[in-house]
Amino acid sequence: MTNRPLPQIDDDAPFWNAASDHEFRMQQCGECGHVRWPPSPVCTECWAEEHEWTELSGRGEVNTWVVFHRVYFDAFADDVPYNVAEVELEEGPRYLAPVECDNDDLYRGMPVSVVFEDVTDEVSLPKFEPK
Amino acid sequence: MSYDQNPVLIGAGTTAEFGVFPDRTILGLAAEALKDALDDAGLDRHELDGLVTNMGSPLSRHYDRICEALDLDIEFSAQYWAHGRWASSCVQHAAMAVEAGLADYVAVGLGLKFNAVSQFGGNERASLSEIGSISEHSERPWYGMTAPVGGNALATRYYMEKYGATSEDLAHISKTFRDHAALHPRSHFADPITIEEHQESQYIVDPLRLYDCAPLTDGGAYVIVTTAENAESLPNEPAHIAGMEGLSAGRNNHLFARPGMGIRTQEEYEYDASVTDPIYERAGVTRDDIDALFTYDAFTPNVWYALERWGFCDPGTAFEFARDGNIGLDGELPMNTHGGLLSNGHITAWNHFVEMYDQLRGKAGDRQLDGADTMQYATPFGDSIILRTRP
Ligand SMILES: [Zn+2]
Repeated sequence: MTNRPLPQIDDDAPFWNAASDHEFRMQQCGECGHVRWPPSPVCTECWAEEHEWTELSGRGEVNTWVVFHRVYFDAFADDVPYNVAEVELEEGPRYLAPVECDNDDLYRGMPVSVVFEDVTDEVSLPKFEPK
Repeated sequence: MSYDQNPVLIGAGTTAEFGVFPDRTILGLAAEALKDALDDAGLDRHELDGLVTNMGSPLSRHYDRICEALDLDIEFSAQYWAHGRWASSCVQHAAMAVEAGLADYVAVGLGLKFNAVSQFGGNERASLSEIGSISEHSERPWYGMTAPVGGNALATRYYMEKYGATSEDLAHISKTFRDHAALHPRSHFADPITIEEHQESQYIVDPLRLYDCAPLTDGGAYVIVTTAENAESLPNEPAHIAGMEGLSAGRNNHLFARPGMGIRTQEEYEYDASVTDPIYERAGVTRDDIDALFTYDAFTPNVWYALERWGFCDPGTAFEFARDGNIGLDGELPMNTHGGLLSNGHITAWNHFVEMYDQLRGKAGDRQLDGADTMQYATPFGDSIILRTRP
């Protein structure tokens, strides 16, 4: 795929490093145990800084979704119509990624689990598949 | 309560047309609109000492280039970020400036060429730093997810699934605002559309169709803010800035969903619109006093979110209210009487402020609402201004 947009890795570097090993990790507070996303320098519940990047179950349910019909990115020209879904993970946070299924099969509450697509040597993208 | 200096709008102006103008420059559009606004206010450009704008390059031009090119001598200037959503924040900033004595006459608005960007939200934006790993519109370029239409569509699907609203309900909003735009001589799109045409129009990002999305418009618009005392020596009747509410932010806020809906980082909870009571208390009015409501209708569902956020409809009922004729000129609560961003033109809500002022001084032509003396601008993002014919 040419000209494919890649993540701009910033304070989420541990997330992408884990993804390249096909592990789905997010920040978990060392004080109260809250799992948070997007990344934050402090716990969004108790403001503690201590945390670790804990491996999650990768399971969740579709909360909402969209289907792109217009081509906004050259790299996705052959993919339209393609979906992007917000998945509410078992651990609480919501993560936005495609679900590998027929667009018409998507529904709210649909159980899904994470899979990884290797895009480059460094980047693997978490996606979901129906469970 | 009222503000000590009684900040007011005293003039408003726009370019003669809103549309797509490949041969015109942004500075040229800004000059035309500002001249129109100053003429309307009865002011000379040398009397202008303040300038506030919601965006600079690339869609507009930075404040200093505007001042240099138009030979303005400005002592108070402020420029917001490169987004449309800051219009009322700019008016509020100007009101605070005149309230604090930092300026006497502040021009607020911009010249704008949305079509200077070939395709909004695509590859050329994927490299912008604002589209970092996680952005407020839910951009995820690596998943083919762009902004802002993608983020809006996410909230729209959620709302539809939760409350049973449909794309056809949105069609009534598109049609109503198009009907309003047909009564405005400067509209970008003035041809009527039918519910069927909306329903047959292509999906951009399902559940949003072509007619759910505002066009990319070129044009310009400014309003002039001053104090009630300064306004006494000028020809126009002023519109008083009676109440203001700032732009909200935080984990329970989403640009395209009222609080409590439960998308992105929002908690899902029973939203209580009484949290927006303070602006009505400041303005000395109730919601029943609002003669028309104006919202940032970059996408049709913003009408739902604004109606519910500001307490005109209970959560989950705005889609029926908007569908059933209540937001038309003859309705219970007329909205975007000029046609809004969706049809009058995407002038990032400056045309909304021009229209509110025109309605309040009886200059809205065929769109004029009888006896209108109180107008509210209020967005799904949480910012608002109430304008009145008297303090
Ligand atoms: Zn914590």
